[in-house]
Amino acid sequence: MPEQPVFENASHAVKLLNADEFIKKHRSEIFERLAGAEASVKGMGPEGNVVFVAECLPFVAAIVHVGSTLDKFREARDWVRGKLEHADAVSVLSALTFLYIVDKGLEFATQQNSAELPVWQSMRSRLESLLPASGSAGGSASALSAQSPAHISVATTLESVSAADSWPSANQSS
Amino acid sequence: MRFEIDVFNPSDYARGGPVTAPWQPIQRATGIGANAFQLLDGNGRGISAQIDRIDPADPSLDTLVFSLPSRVAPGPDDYSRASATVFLEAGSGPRPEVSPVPADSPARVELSSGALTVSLSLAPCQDDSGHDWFAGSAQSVRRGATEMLDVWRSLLGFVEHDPEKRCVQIDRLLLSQPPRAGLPDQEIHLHKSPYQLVSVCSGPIREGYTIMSAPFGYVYWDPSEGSRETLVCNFFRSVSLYRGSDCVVEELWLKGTAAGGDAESTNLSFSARYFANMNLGFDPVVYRFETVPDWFAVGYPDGDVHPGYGFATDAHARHLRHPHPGYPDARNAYRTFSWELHPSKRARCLHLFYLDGAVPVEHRAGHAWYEEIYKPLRIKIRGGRTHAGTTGL
Repeated sequence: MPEQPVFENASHAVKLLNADEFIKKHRSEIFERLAGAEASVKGMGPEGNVVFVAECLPFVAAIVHVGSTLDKFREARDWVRGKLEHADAVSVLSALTFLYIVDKGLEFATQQNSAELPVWQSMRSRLESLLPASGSAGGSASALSAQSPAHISVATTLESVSAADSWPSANQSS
Repeated sequence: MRFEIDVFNPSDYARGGPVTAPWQPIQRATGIGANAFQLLDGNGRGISAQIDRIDPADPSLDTLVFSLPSRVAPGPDDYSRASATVFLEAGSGPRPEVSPVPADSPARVELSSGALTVSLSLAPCQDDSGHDWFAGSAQSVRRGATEMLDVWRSLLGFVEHDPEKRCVQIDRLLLSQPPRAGLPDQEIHLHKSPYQLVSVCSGPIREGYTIMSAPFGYVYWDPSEGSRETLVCNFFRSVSLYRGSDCVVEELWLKGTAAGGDAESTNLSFSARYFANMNLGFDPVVYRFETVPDWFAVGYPDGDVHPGYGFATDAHARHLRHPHPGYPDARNAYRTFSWELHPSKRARCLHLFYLDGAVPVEHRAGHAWYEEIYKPLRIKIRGGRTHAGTTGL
């Protein structure tokens, strides 16, 4: 199955940030934290998907700030601003990094046939349910956006990220 | 005998919270001692209070600190009309605490407000790293489990904090000379010299420490003698943290005494430079108004985490340098900030530590400047002088 463009852009963002090595190095610590957030929203239904993302985004923002450097961050931020003029580029980079982490985590767990696999699958499913292009899990971010400031923030960010579907190919831009 | 103390609120809105005033004028006017008084509200209920002995060698700095039990009505901004009255009388009520002077000076001290915990280094180095440039800095400022000086690493929880992080450090003093002296301004570097603990203040309203730099010489031109003289100087910082507050408040002064003589000390003019190394994010936003050089804020409005820092002073601050020029670690220089105060004989400064508040950091910093520095609540013994909210230096 071909990769969705949003995940391609996520991969490109992390490459620009030069944060992939940091993410790889701390894969188990990152999984532990995300799995904790995932476990805490089990049984919450679609509402849990937004809560999960809202819980994780500050942690992912910290990954961006520790795993990247000022120069690399500026490069990535300018790339986002070039594509999404009015979006909060810092939030978009965190969201793209989050997508990258979950995508790569799932890929790694699949290759290893790891016990982490169902957790990564669940996390990916939660993220995809909030991307407007999705629909498999019964609703986009905007459908949940009126519920709280956190919901609005998550919905706005993911909608911006999803607009990446209409971005030029990541490979053609930098 | 009961004495009436008027409380002046200079704002057009009701205010409460802590009030400070020099204690000696009150003691002189009432004859009531620091260890045997009580403050009462209009219903005869006790008001929490403490006397801070800022410098045991200088009783004129003793400070009364109390907290209004409720907000008082708005008043004119020139302090011309009182908004409330509290009562002072001799008695054995809630006794203010006067802490003993410590026998030995520790390498660091810790202040805690419940909301914030600040670890202040007196020694230049706290470990065996040989990095001896941390004197007078807060090497850790914590809100709960979050390290405010290194928020991102703290949020991750699995990487070590940056050992270079610090704030509230005065790394350099500039002591000026009269133009005709033909002498350059004298630079005093404080970050590598240990501070000594002078006093500990702790009570129901706030806790604080007064620290004193190692002595240094100041060569100045004495116009009356027409010669160069040397003063032995110590730089003093009285650092306080109010209960429940996320702001550190401090008073700065420089005391000089003629070398080898028995002359009384005198307060000298100085210009202090603050230095901070704290990770407020890549490209944080600086909020500063050129026409109001009394406060600034640094914030991170974008993204999902919003660390911030605010600074306010009554001595004016020059522009914020970010990154600090010449910082040796170019890769991490974006975490460094420095700013200089205008020359003064006394400065009152406030440091606000912020993370994800409902009100933006620049609003918090501006408001803190207004209430704590520019228009503090004041008190006056009825029939006496109005006392500003400072230690009366």
